[in-house]
This record gives sequence, C-alpha cells and structure tokens, in this order.
Amino acid sequence: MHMLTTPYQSLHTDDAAAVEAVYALGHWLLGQDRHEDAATVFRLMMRTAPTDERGWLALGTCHEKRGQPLIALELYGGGAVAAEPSALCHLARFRTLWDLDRIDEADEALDAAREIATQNDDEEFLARIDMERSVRP
Amino acid sequence: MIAVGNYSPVSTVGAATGQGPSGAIASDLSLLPPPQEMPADPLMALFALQSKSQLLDVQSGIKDVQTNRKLREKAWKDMKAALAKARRARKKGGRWKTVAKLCSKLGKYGSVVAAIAIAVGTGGVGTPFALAIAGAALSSASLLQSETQFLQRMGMDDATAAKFELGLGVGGAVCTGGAGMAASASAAQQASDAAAATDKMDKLVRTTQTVQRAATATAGAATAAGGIASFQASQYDADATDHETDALRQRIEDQRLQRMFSEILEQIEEAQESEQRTMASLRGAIDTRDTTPLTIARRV
Repeated sequence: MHMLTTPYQSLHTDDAAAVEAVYALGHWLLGQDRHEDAATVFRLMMRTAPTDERGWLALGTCHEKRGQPLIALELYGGGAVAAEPSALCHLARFRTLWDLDRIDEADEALDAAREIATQNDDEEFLARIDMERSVRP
Repeated sequence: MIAVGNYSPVSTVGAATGQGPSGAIASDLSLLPPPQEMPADPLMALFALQSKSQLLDVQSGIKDVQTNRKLREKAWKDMKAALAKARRARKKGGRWKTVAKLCSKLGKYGSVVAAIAIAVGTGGVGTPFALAIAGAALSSASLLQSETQFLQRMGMDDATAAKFELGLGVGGAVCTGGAGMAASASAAQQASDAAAATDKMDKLVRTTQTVQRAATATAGAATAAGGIASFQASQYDADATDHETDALRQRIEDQRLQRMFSEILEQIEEAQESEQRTMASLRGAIDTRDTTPLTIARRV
C-alpha cells in the first residue's frame, strides 16, 4: 500500500518512548547549537510522530536559528494543522510573523492560539499569550 | 550509547515550557517544551524511529508521481469529468464541510508545506503523515541552500517575492502547480473506476478542495490562482459549474509550474539522500561520544 494512504495508527508504547528519547536528543543537540544535526533528528521525529507538536516547533526553531524564518513559518503552519489543536504552533507563528512585520497575520495567529487556550481553560497559557502581545507594541 | 549524563539543562531552549509559564516569562524565550525524560539510550531510539521512518518512506510516493506525470494530458480530462461529478456530489449535502475546514487551514497556515503535500501525495492529502513528509522535505531541501535560493528555485524571483509576500506567494504558485499534477495523478489513478468508487471520489474532491482553499489564501498574491480561487468562492453558488470548468481550463502558466514541480521532486529526492547521509554521520558522532570515554577509561 502506498505509504500516504496507509491509515494512521497510534504509536505503540515503545515507539512513544523512542519519540521521547529522540526529542530529548534533538533538544540537546539544539542546545549545543548543532542546528543541522538537531534538524535531522527532529525531521525523523516529525515523520514518525506528525501529531506531536514538539517536532514541528523544534524543527521550525532549527530553521529560525539558521536564519530561515519563512521555512520556519511554514513548519509552524504545518504543525498547526497536523498537530491540531496546537496553541504553541500558533504562538510560534505569531512570533515569526511579527518579526517579519506581517502584523495583521501575526494577530490572527495569536487569536487562534487564544481561542485554543480558551477552549482548554488554560489560564496560564492565556496569560502568556497576553504577555507575548503586550511586549510587542 | 551516548552518555546520558552529558545532558545538561539547555537554558535557551528549555527555559520556557509549552505547558504554561512558570514565573516571569520573557517573550524571547523558546516555546519548546523541555524533554519529559532523559533517554537511557538515545542511539537505540534513533535506530527505532529511523527504522519506522523507512517503512513510511516517501520514495515510492515520488516514483508514483513521476510515473503519473506522463499521464498528465489524459489526467486533465479525467479530472474535469471527476470535478463535475464532485460538484454534483457536493450539492447532495454538507458532508464536505469538515474537509473544507481542514483544507482551509492547510491553505492558510501551510502554503508551501501543503503544496508539497499535494505534490507528493496522490492520496490522503491533509493527513498528518502527508504533511509531515512535506514539512520534512521542505526542511531538508532548504537546509542545502539559503532560504532565498530555495524559494527562488520554487519559482519566485526577487521582485515578485517582495511584492507578494514570499511565504504565501510561493505557496500559491507551488500549490497551483503541484495541485495540477497531484490532482492529475489522482485522477489518472482513479480514471478506470471513478464513477463507481465513492471513496476514491472523496479523495479527489478532497485534493481538489485543498487546492482551491490554498489558492484562495493566495488570491491576492498570485494571479495565477485567481481562477481556482474564484471557483472556491463560488462553490456553493449556482454558477459553480462555470467556475469549475474555468478553473480546469486555466492551465495556469503551465510550463513554468511543471518545471517547478519537477524541481520539488528533485529536491525531495536530494533531501532524502542527504538526510540518510546526515543520519549516518550523526549516529557516528553519537557513538564516538559514547565510546571515547570508555576507551580512555579502559586505558586507565
């Protein structure tokens, strides 16, 4: 069967543990400024666990650190859909769009993040969203 | 195995968590959640996931699309017929709303990712896996060159990019091209039994609507997407038939888009090979980090 038509199946427990381990590895590589190595690890994570928002976020971060905000933006956008609902991906989009001076789109992204946080009654995250916006006049 | 004790707090990466703020949070902190646990054996985990990933490899998908590219002319005709059926099906009820909602998000948030997903995915467009493959392809291909070079190779010159906002503009152009090809491929595959197989029709419609939604997102930026965008806008309108036909007739900047699509395929293939090399190198690096202290210890 073509892989793209293969029904998505939840990761087994072992796989989930492997995802955690690989995420930790990529996180560590990113912390060592080994962005390309980290990106390789996060790509692997993303392909095997596409509904995990951390893979999208982390890979986007790698590209931002390489000075590729537009690529990062696409990845955050992909994560917002694949890992839906992902307030973090929307928040990441907000930051990147704001830095690109695409203010209207940035505000839309923030609204999307706020909506998810509101639905989840996540007051901490809502506070964070407000803070993110307030520090950007 | 890597010595797990080598892990240290990553102040710039893990200072803020996605679970919510803890104390004062500066806006420049990373959004990345910290790892839940330190892996006992990250190399084994790497192997495990790589093995899984290989099972999901995109290579077969690429070959399928390349083969289908040769059927393009025939596929356009098939797609036209399929779209007409899709239109009739859509009139029967609101079952497309969920699909349309997803497609809208694809177009809005992930222009290039969605486009490549369409390009590589002859089926299952919009699934997390298809998106992930597209995102990974985008990521690895763009790492091989500068962002600007990459986007230009996707068909956008400097002036156009500046005018149209790179992300969406490129997304629209790529999407339109990829859409044509992917939808064609889908139609070609389904040509023999499209009339009878409802599920296949669903896929085709889903693909088509993804294209339309993505095109809508770029309507202001990419004139090439105008025909399809207007089709989307009027999908529930009495004039839908005319717009659908128009959309199909507009084989927008066909040669350029075809080149662009080929470029995407080449880059994905390149990226796959590069990623395999990098992964091997990374495994070596991890292994070295682990064995070196052991070797030294044994000498002592």
